[in-house]
Amino acid sequence: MSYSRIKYVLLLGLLLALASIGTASASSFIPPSQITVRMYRLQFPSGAIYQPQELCSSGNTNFGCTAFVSDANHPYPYGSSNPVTIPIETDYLLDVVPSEISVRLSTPQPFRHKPLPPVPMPTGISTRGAPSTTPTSSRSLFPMLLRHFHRQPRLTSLITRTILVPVRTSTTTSESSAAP
Amino acid sequence: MRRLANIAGGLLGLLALGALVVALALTFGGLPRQAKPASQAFQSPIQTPTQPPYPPPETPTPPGPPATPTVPPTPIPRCTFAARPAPAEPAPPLEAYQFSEPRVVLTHTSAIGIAGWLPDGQRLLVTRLIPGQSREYVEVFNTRTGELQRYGERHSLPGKPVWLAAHQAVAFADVAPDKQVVLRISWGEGAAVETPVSGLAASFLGASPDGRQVVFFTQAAPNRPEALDIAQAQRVTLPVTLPPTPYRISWHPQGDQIAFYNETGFYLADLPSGRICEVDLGFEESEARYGKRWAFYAQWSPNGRYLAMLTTVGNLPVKFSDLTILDTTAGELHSIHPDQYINPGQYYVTDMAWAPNSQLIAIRAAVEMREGVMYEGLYLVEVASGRDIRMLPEALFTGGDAGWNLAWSRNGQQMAANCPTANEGRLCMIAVTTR
Repeated sequence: MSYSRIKYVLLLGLLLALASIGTASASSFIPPSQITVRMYRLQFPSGAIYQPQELCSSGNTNFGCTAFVSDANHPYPYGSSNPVTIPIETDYLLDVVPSEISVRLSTPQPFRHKPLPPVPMPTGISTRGAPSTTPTSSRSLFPMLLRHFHRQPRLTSLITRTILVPVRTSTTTSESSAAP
Repeated sequence: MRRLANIAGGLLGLLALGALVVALALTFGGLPRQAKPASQAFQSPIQTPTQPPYPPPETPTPPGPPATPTVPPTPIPRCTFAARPAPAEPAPPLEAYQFSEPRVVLTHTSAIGIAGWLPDGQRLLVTRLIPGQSREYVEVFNTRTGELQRYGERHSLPGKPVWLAAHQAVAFADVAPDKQVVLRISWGEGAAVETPVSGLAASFLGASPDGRQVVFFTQAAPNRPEALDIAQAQRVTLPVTLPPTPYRISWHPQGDQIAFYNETGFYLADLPSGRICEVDLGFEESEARYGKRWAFYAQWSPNGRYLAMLTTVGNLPVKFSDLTILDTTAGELHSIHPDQYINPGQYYVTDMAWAPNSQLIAIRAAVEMREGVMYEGLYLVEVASGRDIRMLPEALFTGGDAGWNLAWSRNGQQMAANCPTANEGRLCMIAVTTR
């Protein structure tokens, strides 16, 4: 076998090896379904971390610890756990992320041209966390809040400053070390 | 034949061109009518001096066929103020004020909240969070002796306790074991705490200037404010009707008006006439902001002429907050903030406190945001001109919710400011002098 042939065979082998590694790693990757966050009471109404720092705890109805401020029926929903490991899909993406990425700055336009009809709002559900029993046509509904109309009565913190902490508790938990 | 086809093609082309021109004209012709100058977005009808201070009583509806059972609520008219020339009263310029270095007078292992000064200019009504719990003490702190008098304990709530001067008592909202928000009255340290009202709609209370009455909303009638006469333990429904959402409350220092406000509107109720009107704070339509401006904290000036508000636009958490001042004599409304941004377009005025002369207002405004923590500076604002200067430029303050962090004593000599660290609640005192 000539030198040039050997070279091509080796190159082909290397490519095959790389392809097999890529396939193996792709098939073994499991997207994380949970994330661990530390939840703090926030300053009303800016959302900065309240000082002195106060970790949300059982029964806390302050701004940042629950979407329903002052509502003793809907306090901080994770009991005494803090940091707490929460589902990414149902809690983190819907409740925490929208409040931390200024999603509202880009959302008013669609709502301006498509005014929503008044929706009968059950007690304790409102767009700003204040209990309400009467619909008002001026309110806009954001996706992060629509979930509450479908999934009663699981209520989670909508506006929570989070500190993500590295987690290695299970294979389905994400790893992150981002600061707020 | 070929020529005919060319002519037909040309005609079709011309028609298409014409249709395009018409479409363009329609599209761009409508723009000037849709676009609104920025100056008009903030135009407020309160500047119209042609109408009486409060709208006249409604005329009775003419007889006609019976209405449907669901009668829509009567729309609340916009407030109008007769613009009266108000002579400027002499006052020291901003530069004449001197603030001492903040002196820590109280520390606590958790948060301290400033509810306000007592009339003696010596004692402060404060809350102190119980570490690890969602409950807090309601106390009177003597800034000279350091003595704390405990008036009660309650669930931590956004509504401030209020001092009832006529009775030397404190009223505050609490959460009862059945999870209802209740009104409690404490007559002093060691005295029994009474619960005269249950089922409050929110934790926000308003005390009359003489401290004889407390106004609040109940869940049973969230659109009708009620006043409790403390001495007679008598409840009276005030003769005003509002949209039924929980309101914050600020009672005029002369006692004849009450401001009710939340994210849906800002209303002024005139108690003698029972009339109510809405203060138009403006509506913003820009790329960064869209919505009705709303107030989350309001304070009347000591002379009752001005109403200072912290206002914003949009949902929580908000991206900015202004100091908005309504001059009820001149009928003018201005929104201002120090020229200090923590990000492009992001700034916050987080607290305010009136000077006793009603011509200056001290504010706390964000100067920096680091790792989610907001650091604030202390400013003095001249109400007539909107001019501001930063006091104690080296001092950075952190704190809690808007409205709980600053208070100016009625004699003008002391400023109480929350000055916590990340791990400890601290209350600071700043001596105020004029040159």
